[in-house]
Amino acid sequence: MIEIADIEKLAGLVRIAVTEEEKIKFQKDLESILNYVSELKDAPSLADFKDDEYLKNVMRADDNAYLPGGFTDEILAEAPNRADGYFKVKKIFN
Amino acid sequence: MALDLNKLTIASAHDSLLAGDFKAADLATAYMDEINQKNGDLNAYLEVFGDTVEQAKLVDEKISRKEEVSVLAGIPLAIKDNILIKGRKASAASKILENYTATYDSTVIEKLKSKEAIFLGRTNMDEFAMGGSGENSAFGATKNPNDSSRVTGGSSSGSAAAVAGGMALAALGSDTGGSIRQPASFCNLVGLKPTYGTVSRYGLMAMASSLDQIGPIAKTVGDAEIIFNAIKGKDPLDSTSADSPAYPPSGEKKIIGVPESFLSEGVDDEVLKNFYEAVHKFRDMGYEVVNVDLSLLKYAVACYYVLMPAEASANLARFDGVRYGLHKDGKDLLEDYQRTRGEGFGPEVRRRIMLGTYVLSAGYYDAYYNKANDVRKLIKMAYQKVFDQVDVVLTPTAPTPAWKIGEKVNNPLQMYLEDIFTIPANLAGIPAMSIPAGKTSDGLPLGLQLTAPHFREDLLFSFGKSFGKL
Repeated sequence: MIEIADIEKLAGLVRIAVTEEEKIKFQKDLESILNYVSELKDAPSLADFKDDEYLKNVMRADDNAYLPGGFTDEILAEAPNRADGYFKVKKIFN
Repeated sequence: MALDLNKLTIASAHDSLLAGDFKAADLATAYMDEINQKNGDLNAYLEVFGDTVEQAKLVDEKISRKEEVSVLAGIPLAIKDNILIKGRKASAASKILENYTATYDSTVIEKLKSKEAIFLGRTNMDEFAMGGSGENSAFGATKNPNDSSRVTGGSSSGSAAAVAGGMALAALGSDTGGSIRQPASFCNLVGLKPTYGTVSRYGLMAMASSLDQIGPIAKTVGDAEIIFNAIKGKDPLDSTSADSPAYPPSGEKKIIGVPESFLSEGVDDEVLKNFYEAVHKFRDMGYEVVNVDLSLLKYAVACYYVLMPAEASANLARFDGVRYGLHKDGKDLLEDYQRTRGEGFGPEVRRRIMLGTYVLSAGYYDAYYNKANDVRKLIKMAYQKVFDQVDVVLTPTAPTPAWKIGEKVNNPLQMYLEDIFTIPANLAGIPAMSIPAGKTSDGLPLGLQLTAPHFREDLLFSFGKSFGKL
């Protein structure tokens, strides 16, 4: 069971503002979707799965670093608020 | 020679360009005219680029100088709005990126630019590729060129409508759970989701990174093959990419598998009838058809709707109103985030972010996320076993034809179940292609889906071409 309080907690975790009306809709939607995906509990379990022999980690040398400042102007041009070559955000500590 | 866009394929357009029947600039102009006439109604393009004729003229100059050009030179393509083109807007049909300009080229675009393909514009889609109808776009639904009261399918809705409506010769889409194949099926087109890792995802906006793959939407299997060959290949900028074949190739057995038990429920009668007609056609051509056991696929949608939102919730955490995209001001930084994400994301995106966060949260992680990962591995193993026996697996692409716009918007779960046949290939990482298979009595297109082992797109192309010849 998903309660309105669960939706409020989730909305807080994902940093999304939701209206009272939306809470009710999301509560209903999430409950029906979670009810459906709960079918997974009836699926067989993994007994002796041999990991795919063709899957392997991909590594590379830690070199060819970008030069500091090489892309700063281009990237900052997309920022909603910027100052002196930095992203500008509100202060966190009062 | 008058330009008949209906009959044009990439190969025939290329031949005509070399023969001088028409110029690349004429071709670009002809498509721009079609777009000007039809796009207002169909809403396939979010933006049409202003420099297509200039791009084409460069190709014409090369051809007139008898320089060698690629088969894609001067070919007008439509690009889904979640694939970055440097200096162009890329919004993923979301308000949160409405004014975002891409700062680099995706690898697929870089490859197509090197072949001198022409980009007509960026196409409409379900916001962040989350949807199966095109109705989740923040900029309005795309309409199906076959019947404008119906959806195109999604999420690559505009790419399918552009090609089906004669507004592009072919298009790029992306496919996480069927977003190339299902709209291709609803619009009477060919849509290919390549093997996971075959095509670089660098510069594709991430939805669910272990499932996303870029691929072509085209009029013929041959056209899809041309584009696939142009965009595939290992890319140092995407560590999950690989040169095929990473898996050892096997020969062609001329055996087709049909998962009978998987087709028994929830499939429209006309779809099923059409499907078995296709099976008979293959049999008549000399292919052996056998029943295969893929009963585990009944868990595919449930598995997908745990893994996909889990990955999406992590991927979409980057939209914070600080570094790029929309910013809504609140009283403090927390409220900035909440307002930006609350007003910037549409309802389906917010639903999936919350769902993903729920299944990843302490106390539910094992029951949902870990279990879904196990089921995913079991599905992959089941396919491997089946492909020891058969070349390709055949199913319908979707359980129904295109539905009416608005018909399913209030029931997300019902919409999710439409992906039942397309999701398994993404979970297993194997290639799958939808090809046109005829129409319903109401004239609505139906698609047939071919699924092959890892890196065996060649089988999809050869089976697809044989079927098309009938």
